[in-house]
Amino acid sequence: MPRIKFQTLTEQMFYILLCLNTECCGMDIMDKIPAMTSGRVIVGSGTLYNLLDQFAKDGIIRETKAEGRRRSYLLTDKGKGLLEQEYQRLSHQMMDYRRIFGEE
Amino acid sequence: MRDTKRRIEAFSFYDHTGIEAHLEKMAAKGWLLERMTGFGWVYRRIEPGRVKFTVTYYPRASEFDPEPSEQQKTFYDFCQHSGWEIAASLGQMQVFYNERENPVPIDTDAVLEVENIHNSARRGYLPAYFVLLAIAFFQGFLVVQRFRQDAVGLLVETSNLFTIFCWLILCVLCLAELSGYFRWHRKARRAAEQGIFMDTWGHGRLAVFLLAALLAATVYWLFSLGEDYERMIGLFSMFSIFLLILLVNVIKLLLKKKRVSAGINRTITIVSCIVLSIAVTGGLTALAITGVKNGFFEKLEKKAPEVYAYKGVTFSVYHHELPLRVEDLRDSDYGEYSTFWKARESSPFLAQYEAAQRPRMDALEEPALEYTVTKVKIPLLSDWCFRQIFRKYDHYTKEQPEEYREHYVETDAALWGADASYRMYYGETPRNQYLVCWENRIAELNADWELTPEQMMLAGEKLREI
Repeated sequence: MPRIKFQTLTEQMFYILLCLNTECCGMDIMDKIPAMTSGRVIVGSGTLYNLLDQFAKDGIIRETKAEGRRRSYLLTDKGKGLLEQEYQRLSHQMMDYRRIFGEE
Repeated sequence: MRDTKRRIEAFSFYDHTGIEAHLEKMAAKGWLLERMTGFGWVYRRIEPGRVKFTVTYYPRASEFDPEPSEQQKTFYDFCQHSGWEIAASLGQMQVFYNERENPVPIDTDAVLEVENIHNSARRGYLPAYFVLLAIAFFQGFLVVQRFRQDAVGLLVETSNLFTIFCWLILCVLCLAELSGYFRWHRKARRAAEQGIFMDTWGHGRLAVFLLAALLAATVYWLFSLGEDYERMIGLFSMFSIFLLILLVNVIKLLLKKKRVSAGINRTITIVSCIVLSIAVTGGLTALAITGVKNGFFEKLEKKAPEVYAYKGVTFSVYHHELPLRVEDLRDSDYGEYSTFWKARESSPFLAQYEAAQRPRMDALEEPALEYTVTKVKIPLLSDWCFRQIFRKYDHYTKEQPEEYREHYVETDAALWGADASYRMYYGETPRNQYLVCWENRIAELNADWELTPEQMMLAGEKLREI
């Protein structure tokens, strides 16, 4: 089944949006994500470029400033909603896990 | 020692796995990709070493862009941040290299990667191959039409076979590319949903094989042409095509250098391609017509004919050796005959020998003789070839009333010492036109007089030996 665009977020999408809770540019995101996840999650430059482009087109993020080719972005309300929705989905998964296996 | 080298590389547009592996091998040998053009890829010398390559696709790029757009440069900046330097690009295809140990890949989302490749392929690669395939099919349709009208004439000329072969090769290449791409895309899309990056497989080897076959066929075709001037025309035609491709590419590059926008460049390049194609084809046709009118090509023949004028029109007189002459069959003291002989032997399917012995225009009362002998080189084709020659006359006269219809009536083959023989009738009136068949040989003979049984036997003996 092909995934419906942004209905659920991939790990890479999730962390990109999480970074954009504060204004930052693409290259900052590339450095922030491995630092935030202790290197567990990495986002390739091509993938990041394409996702930022798609997020901006869908109104999930907005461009805040452009210094030459260095563009900064920030999460929009729609983006925050999407992130919240993903958080809820993940939380439900965690609760379901705990109900089955109990608290570790 | 040269510091750059150019190589013709045969890779499918989407075959990034194959291209990456190849470029890594080239770098290990000390050659780094510098430029990709329609006339080969250019490499520059480097210290041999381990360099990682990634071929990625930027759908909004175009080969008509005067330079990368600002967005594309931003994309390059992103890649550079993780150590990926742009090596070269061709249209949407972008080739990056990285000298770091274990660099972060450019594409870390399989779904996005497949989407990018597909969006890029839809903008240039796929439409181009669909157009080429449509042209190849259209040519195939024309060949089938010609085959239905005159299959023997089509198969006996190596020029026809060469043209068919060229279009067939193009058709095979287009089908292989398109089917290969769609098969890969279907599988890669499914795999990407599971987070799996699927390697690509292209048709580079097939393309090299087809190119080699095409070159071999070209050489065979050029050598098969009987006359030097025919070879010259063949080479000149091929040179014209090469010149056309070169000119169109030069126009495109000049416009890019002048920083003309991609849209205008594309329009001018396409229009100039069409105009130049028409001009080259028209120019070649005009040259050929002028050459025929002025007798230019005849002068270039190994045995150039004499010419004479009759009532203001120029006629040629040939003095070729003929295996069967009027004088072999009947008495004739006319010594001004033109004897023309043409042998077409290079087709792998058929050989055809055409002979004509004609008096000058001021002595048309003298007997004339014409015959064509078709030899079938592949025994399986014998019956088919006979049916084709037999059918030729049905085809021409099918629409005519029966009394005006030309048709063959079977006659006694023993008179010719043949397996079968037929005589042409025009309605009820017999003509001195015969079709005589042996196992792998069919002779069409047209005489100016009623042949006697002795003449038939003698003609049969001579024609059987050609």
